Amino acid sequence: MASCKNYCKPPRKGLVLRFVIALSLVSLISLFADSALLRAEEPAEKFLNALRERGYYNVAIHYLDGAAQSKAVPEAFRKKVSFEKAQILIDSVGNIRNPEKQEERLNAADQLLTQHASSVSDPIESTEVKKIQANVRYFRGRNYLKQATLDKTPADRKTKLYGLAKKLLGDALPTFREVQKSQREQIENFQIDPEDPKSDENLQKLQASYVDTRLKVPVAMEKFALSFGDDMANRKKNLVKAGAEFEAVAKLYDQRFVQGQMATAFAARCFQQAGDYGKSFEMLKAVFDYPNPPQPLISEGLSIGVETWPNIEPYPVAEVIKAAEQPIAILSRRDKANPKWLRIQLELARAKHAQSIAIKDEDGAESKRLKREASRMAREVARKRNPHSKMAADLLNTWGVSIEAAGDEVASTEIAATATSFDDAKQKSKDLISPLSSQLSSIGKAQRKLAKTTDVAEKSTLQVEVDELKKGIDARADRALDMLSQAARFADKETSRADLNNIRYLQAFCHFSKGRYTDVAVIGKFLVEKYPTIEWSQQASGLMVRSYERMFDAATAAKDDAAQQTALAKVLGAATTMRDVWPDTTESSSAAVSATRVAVIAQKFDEAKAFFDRIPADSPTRATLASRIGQQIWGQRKNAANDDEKQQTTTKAREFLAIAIDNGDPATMDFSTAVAALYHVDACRESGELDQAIARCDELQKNLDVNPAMSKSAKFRQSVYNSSLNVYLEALGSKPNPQEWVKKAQAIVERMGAEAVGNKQAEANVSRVYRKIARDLNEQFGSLKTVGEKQTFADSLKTFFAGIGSVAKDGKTRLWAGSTLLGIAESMKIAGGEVKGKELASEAIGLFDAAKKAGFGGDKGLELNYQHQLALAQRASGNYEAAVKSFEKILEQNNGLNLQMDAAKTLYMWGIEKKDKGVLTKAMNGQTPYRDPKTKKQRKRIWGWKTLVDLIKNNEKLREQFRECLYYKVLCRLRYGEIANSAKAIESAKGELNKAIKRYDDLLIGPWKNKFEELLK
Amino acid sequence: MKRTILILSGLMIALTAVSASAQNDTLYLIKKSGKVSKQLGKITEVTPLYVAFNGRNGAVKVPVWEIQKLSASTEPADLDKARDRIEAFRFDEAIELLENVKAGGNPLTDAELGWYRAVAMSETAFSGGSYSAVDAGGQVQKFLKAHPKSHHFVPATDLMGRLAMADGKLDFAAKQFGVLTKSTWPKYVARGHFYTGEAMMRSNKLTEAAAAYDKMLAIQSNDDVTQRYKRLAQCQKAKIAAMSGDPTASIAQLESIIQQENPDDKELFAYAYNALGACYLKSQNLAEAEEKYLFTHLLFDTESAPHAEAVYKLADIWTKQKQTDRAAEARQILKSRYRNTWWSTQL
Repeated sequence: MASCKNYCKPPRKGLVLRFVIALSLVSLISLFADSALLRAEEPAEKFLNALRERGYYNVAIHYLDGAAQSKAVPEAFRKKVSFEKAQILIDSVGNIRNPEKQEERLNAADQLLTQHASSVSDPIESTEVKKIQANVRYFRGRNYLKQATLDKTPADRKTKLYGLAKKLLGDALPTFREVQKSQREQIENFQIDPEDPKSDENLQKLQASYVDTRLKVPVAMEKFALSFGDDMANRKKNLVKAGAEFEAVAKLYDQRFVQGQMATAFAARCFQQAGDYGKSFEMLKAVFDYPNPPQPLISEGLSIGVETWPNIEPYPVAEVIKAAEQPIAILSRRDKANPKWLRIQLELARAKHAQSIAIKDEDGAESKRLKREASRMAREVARKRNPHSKMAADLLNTWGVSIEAAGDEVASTEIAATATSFDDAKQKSKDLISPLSSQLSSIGKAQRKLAKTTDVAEKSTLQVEVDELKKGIDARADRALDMLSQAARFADKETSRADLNNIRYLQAFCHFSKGRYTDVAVIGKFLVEKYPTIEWSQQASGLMVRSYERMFDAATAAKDDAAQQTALAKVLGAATTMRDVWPDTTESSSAAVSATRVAVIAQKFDEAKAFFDRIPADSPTRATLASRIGQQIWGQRKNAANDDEKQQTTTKAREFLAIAIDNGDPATMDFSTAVAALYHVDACRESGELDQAIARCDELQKNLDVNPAMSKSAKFRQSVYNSSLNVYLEALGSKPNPQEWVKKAQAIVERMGAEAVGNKQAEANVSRVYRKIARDLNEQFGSLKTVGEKQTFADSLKTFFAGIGSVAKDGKTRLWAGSTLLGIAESMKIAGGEVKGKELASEAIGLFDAAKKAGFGGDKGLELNYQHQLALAQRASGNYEAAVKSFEKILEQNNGLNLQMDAAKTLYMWGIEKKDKGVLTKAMNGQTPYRDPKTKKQRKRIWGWKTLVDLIKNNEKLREQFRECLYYKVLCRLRYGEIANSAKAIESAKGELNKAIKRYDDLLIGPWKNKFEELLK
Repeated sequence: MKRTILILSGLMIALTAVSASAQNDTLYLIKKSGKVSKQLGKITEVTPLYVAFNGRNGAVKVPVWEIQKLSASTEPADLDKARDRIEAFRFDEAIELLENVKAGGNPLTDAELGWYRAVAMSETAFSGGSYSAVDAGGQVQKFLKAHPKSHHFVPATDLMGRLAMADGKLDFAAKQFGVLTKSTWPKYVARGHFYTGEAMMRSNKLTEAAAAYDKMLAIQSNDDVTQRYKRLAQCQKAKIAAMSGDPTASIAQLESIIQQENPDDKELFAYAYNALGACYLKSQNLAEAEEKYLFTHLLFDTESAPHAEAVYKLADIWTKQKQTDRAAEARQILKSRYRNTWWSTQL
């Protein structure tokens, strides 16, 4: 079990390292201390066992991989590396909740065992290997069966899973039988070697293994029967067979081994599942008749009983009460909330109620008492959130008792106000206090509801309800306190300390119910200090910690820093005392939980960590707290003074977040854990653990629709999408194969788009996300160094932007996406990727067409922008003619400097590409003359660089544009000269530039200096 | 004939014995073991410090502290029943029973009747019952005047002192306790010193109070009662030290007492926690003071004297902390359960 606990949490790297170093040191010291160890061989077996005991399975596997080839490892050990590895894999499975991962490991173990079996010559060892292999198959089959029986598993998947389970269990069963037979023969033929001291021990081991195998057979038979799923006839037939086999095993072993007695219970389970309730009932009687039955047997028997007893006619009242009364009476607080025990409690309530009816005429008072008790028990089940609450409510309804009925009140009013002795007062106090727990639970629920509701009318109703409940609790607690006070006065020298402590504890509980936390703390403090070894001090001190915690919460809510600090110190102090006085108890663990919680809220993370480490690994609150601590620490990063501190905070947060989500099945994890998983993604990213972040994101996305907690929260889904996008975009920049990451990002946005349909706000959000991604992509594209890199990246971008066209439904986003792609296309061309650039530009045209189709809602600005961008895209794609036409069309309606410049540039680019002097002349002088209807003057639709320069050369506000226009004017002339092979034209162009340089002193500035100087060379 | 004479002689002896028994007074003596033995005989003299008794062992003078109770041969049954009721804290019933007993017969019985009536009324007053401290004090005063030689004289003086203290007549109370210190009854000598200290403290005469406790602590006797009052006196001295100076040392001393002593000694713990409460009040630390007084209130409320003080202090603290509900509740306890105590008169 110790190892089980350990492997529930994967070791931290540092811890493992420390452990390995420590172990190495031990080995080193041993080398000097023991000359026998001076051989150059590793203590492999010992080391492996140490790793296994501590649950360091991954390290063990890693070690075994190396050991197979290592000469330092003893030969004998090397031979069984496969076997050891298989064992490690099997051991590690218990720690994994994800059935797929379990299956992966078990399958690997199975293969390793097959590999090992072929090399084993010893028949006993060979049989043992075979048994382990059968066990592996059994576990695999059982896992499939478990998945098949889950409600959430779709029907077709269920059929497949049942089939897989049947196959594996069908394989395991005959192997177990074969092993059983072989082992029996081996035992019969075993020769004790008087000279071998281990000989006798080996026989005992073999016998123990045989008994285990004997028990495994019916266990596998039962599971095999269940793998028939809906095939009821076969299922029933095989269950009866399994039951009979269990019965046979029980007959053999029930007087010798607990397992034999368990076999009786399992036989009852098989018969019950087969519908033979009579037989099951008889077997159960035998279970509860065993002298001093162990707790697991009782627990199993009762679980089977609740499914059997209601089907027995007449209902076996006496048997149910006999079996369930005592176990229910001594349940711990944690067990009381366990659904299994709640179901048993409900059955006991049913039996007590039946008993009350049966004895009504002969003993009215006892009948009333039983009825009250039955109602109380059923009510407890009905009020708690559990799978049986409806059944309990129905039962109460059948009895004519309301869940909130005053049954308890009736009982309490019957309690006389004065007591006659200590015992009388104590009993009366208990009777008064008994309903307080459920009353507290009711007020807790009502208060939570009240805190959540925003509806004024509902708030007012709930407030009345809370006030009424509070009044009821106070009144009851006051009466109980009065009775307890009487008990204290009756106490004399004969009264045991335990009894007195019980009174103190009950007083503390009453004060707790009334919200008098200082009073509770005083009592708890006194008992822990003065009577630490006496019963009930522990429980009272538990209440003390909870009270300090409530005081802390109140101070926090009131923003009273001083009171908060005082209460914090008290919680931590009390939890420390409890840890020292009663280590490893439920109360001490709960105190550690409280201390951790308040320390986190107060941002005392070192203290939180110290207490957190005291919380048992199997505590249900551990993960929740780890999640909370992790999230709080994560939130602290912003306060870090420097990068080192920030990194430390991140590492701490990661550590807790990992604990929170450790082994949690993403399909079923609760919301808090899911949130922790999300934070973990960010923490991993920040720590540079991108692979982990990616894996976590993939997992979260996979389970978004499966996990009910995740699927319900739109905000959470959004966060998962956002985090995933960030992670994929980061991967895009740092990992090979950008296509993969773009596709992943694309898939997310498509998913978001699909979910946003019909929701304008969500649709707008999708557009925003697209823009963000596009910006990121653009930035990343810009940061790439080589044409090759850019070309590869450009392919990914093409896919991404094409996706926008289909997902984004609005013209604006499509237009924007096209513009971005066009920008990239132009960058591509500048970088030398002419072909790719044209390709991207063509894609951009497609996006502009899509934008036009979606429409711009009458926005003239957008319409103009579309036309402009389309013309530019046509130009970039190499279709200059179409581009020029587009510009002319735009310029018919909208004239503007930038449009004219782009049009002139288009003509220039066309001329250059075609080496066409005519087109270059048009770029210079403009084209397409027309008569201006207003001025009646002759003008050109495209002005050309010459006109542009003339128009803006003296405009102080347009110096940048002037420089650009002049540059292109000179460039056009130079290129013209080059194409026409005219030195004169070239000289003339340079002459113009020189004149301009002399005339305008703001030409050779910034990047223009080089550009212009380049033209003069 | 001889046989008839023998039978008649036996019968005569038996009748004589019955007659002698019927005329005997009864003395219940407390043995060293703590057990009580019943002695029949004739009570010949009663004084505040001894009772002269002529019984099976001849004439003896029994110190009053060795007597559990005594009854005259003609004592009515209701008187003894009333004693039992008082033992069981059922004071109202005791008073009712005592109503049935007529005075004016045996002087021994008259003294017993007067004493138990005074006790029942005083205890009723202390527990907030239907009699006030003044009513009960009147009854005690009446008893003391009527029976100045009663063996109950010293306890009656003690009772008078406590009632006077409850009524706020602290000087008169101190005088009564002063009388006790001069008696040779060890228990009452100790109580005399202790309660003198209490009366002085309440009068805010801290030096005198400390002197009284010092006298208490100087008593050489090692009997249980003296030891008990010595421990209480230590707590009270620590409290005085805190009230008149720096409470730090007192806190340490009191915490040490709490740490070392047996918590089953509820009275000691009640006094110790009250003293600690006073220390923290002096330090202006209301929260700590509240906690200390709460110890007494919640865990040692069977000790009425220190409990009343704790409730009074809590009422004050809660008022200052603006916990009005709790303050009102504490005042209510003082007004009902402790309505005849000095603490309730301080409200």
